[in-house]
Amino acid sequence: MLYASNRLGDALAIADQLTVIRNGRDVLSKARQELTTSEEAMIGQLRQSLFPLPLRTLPTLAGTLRPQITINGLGGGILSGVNLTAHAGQILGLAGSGASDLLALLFGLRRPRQGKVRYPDGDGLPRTQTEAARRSICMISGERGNGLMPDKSIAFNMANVVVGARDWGSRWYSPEAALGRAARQIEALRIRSTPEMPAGSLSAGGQQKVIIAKWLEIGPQVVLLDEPARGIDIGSKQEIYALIRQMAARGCIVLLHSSELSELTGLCDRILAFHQGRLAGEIAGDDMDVGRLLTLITSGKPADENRRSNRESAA
Amino acid sequence: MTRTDTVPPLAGSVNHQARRSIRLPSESGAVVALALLLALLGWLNSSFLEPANLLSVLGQAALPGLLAIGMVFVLAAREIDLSAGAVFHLAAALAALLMVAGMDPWPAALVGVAAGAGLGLVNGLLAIVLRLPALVVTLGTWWMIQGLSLVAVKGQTIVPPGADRSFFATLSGKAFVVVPAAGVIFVVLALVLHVVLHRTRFGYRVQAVGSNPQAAAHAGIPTSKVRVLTLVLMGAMAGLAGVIHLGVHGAVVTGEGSTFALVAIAAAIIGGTSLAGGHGSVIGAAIGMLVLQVILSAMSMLGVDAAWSTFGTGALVVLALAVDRLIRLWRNRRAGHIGDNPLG
Repeated sequence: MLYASNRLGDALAIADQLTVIRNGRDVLSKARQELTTSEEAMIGQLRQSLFPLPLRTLPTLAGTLRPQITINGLGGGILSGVNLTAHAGQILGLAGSGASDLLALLFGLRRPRQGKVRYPDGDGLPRTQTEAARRSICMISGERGNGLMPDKSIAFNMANVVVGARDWGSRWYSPEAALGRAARQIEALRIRSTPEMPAGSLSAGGQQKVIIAKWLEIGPQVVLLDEPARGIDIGSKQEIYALIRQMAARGCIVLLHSSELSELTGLCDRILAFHQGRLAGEIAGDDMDVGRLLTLITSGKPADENRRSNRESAA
Repeated sequence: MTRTDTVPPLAGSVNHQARRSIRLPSESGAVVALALLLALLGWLNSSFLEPANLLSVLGQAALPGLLAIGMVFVLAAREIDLSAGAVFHLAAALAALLMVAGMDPWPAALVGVAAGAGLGLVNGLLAIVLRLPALVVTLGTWWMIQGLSLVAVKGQTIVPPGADRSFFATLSGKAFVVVPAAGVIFVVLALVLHVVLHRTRFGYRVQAVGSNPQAAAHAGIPTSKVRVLTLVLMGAMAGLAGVIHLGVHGAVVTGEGSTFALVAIAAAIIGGTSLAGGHGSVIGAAIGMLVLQVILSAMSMLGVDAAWSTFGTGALVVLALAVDRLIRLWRNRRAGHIGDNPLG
């Protein structure tokens, strides 16, 4: 059986024989038990270094008046009664069932049933994606079919929001300006291609960087990330994680949903766990580990409470 | 594998050598076809290449050509408009009836164009509200509009009075003695719409919506508005062509323009516009229309039965579709579907 994965932990755990491929060439191919400790350590080290160190946020963002999204009693989709606050300069993690519904509501993809939301610009939920984009609220999804025009050039793709969504500025589309914009982003995001190439010719990681770049062009205020690193090779993942950190450090409000819990614990300042559409709890700081998070999203209760209730039912 | 002290630099993405292939402009097929046809016909009968004959071909191509360059926008937005020919006819009939009723020809013509745009708006709103592809909506409105023309015209030929008035004199006239007015309008509008498609925000949005409607919506592009506007543009072009037809011929005959929607689609495809959306060429569609018209003229010049000329036109469209499809398949194979590989 062949098992291909970018999750090194999985591969180490289940494989009998392991082949590591990098840059299209296999660099290591061995039976699992023949791996020397140093080789195993190296693969482990790759895992460790996946998540970049937290960046220092701008001092102006530390005050109490920093921009924030406040959500009161929001319901819609499977969500109900959600209260939360997301601050600029922080990465707020979202896990469990209902998390991606929350992102859909915040981007105007879904209508809310009830509740109040206040964005930093003073307005409520956007009614359409167009309104969201014009208010500098951006959504980056792991579903790349939702983000990419593969037959169009990278330059065309990167003009999606700046030219396509906005209603102000020039009524003209300048291919030259688009090429210049793309060349700048290609260098900044280290995309290995040229602006004229079709976006579909890139690797999955490169495609995702193009999608990120088109939103970076408008200087987003609110960044909604829905499994942004799904199905991407490790190197690109690392770079995309670093980009997410940078966005938060520059003062964006970042909300990150992922089903890969280690991604959340590795990147986020706080994580909110959802259970059956309701907010089950929050973990932050030293409490942040995958086990606690998993308990919260599967049972809806913190681990110690579970133990207590188990004892009570046993007694 | 001796270095374990530092993390090896991992590739950000698999290193593709930027594939540099010679990419021919999408119009090139139509240009080559037109050149070959003209060379062949000039060899068969040198009088065909006389400027007077070529310009009359241009004049004849102009009316369906106006529909073709509008159709490019609709196709580029991944839609299709089957009702354009019926709109053409109704706009012409409406303007003619208003003239018969005593309206001055110029405002009556304006009403005809506006009616065309209005019918396009109806098509667009139906498609948006019902969330149906324009193909389905316009299949229905095509019959309705055709029915309206029948009711209005009652199967008769309408001849507006005052054939000497400035409207008819202008449109049936020739610029610089030889160039038909309709041809001039056609060429000018083709150039204008070419710029609109490739150099304006509206044209950008049309291509974006056609390339990937979901991604366009996700990026905040107002896709519904774009769809409606392309169909309004199509309707306005059909209305304009209808009114010019009235001005050139001075009469509207039942059934005229009934094939124009399909001719326009065929011209756009020959000109390199893909039915899959996302890309269009206005200049290509104009040249594609010339190719079709040259074939039709040549067949009548060579004394081919009119029935066979219809067959020939159809065969050419099938050929153009086949070539378009084969090129697409070939490109996809070369690209190797890298984009679809989740681990790439």
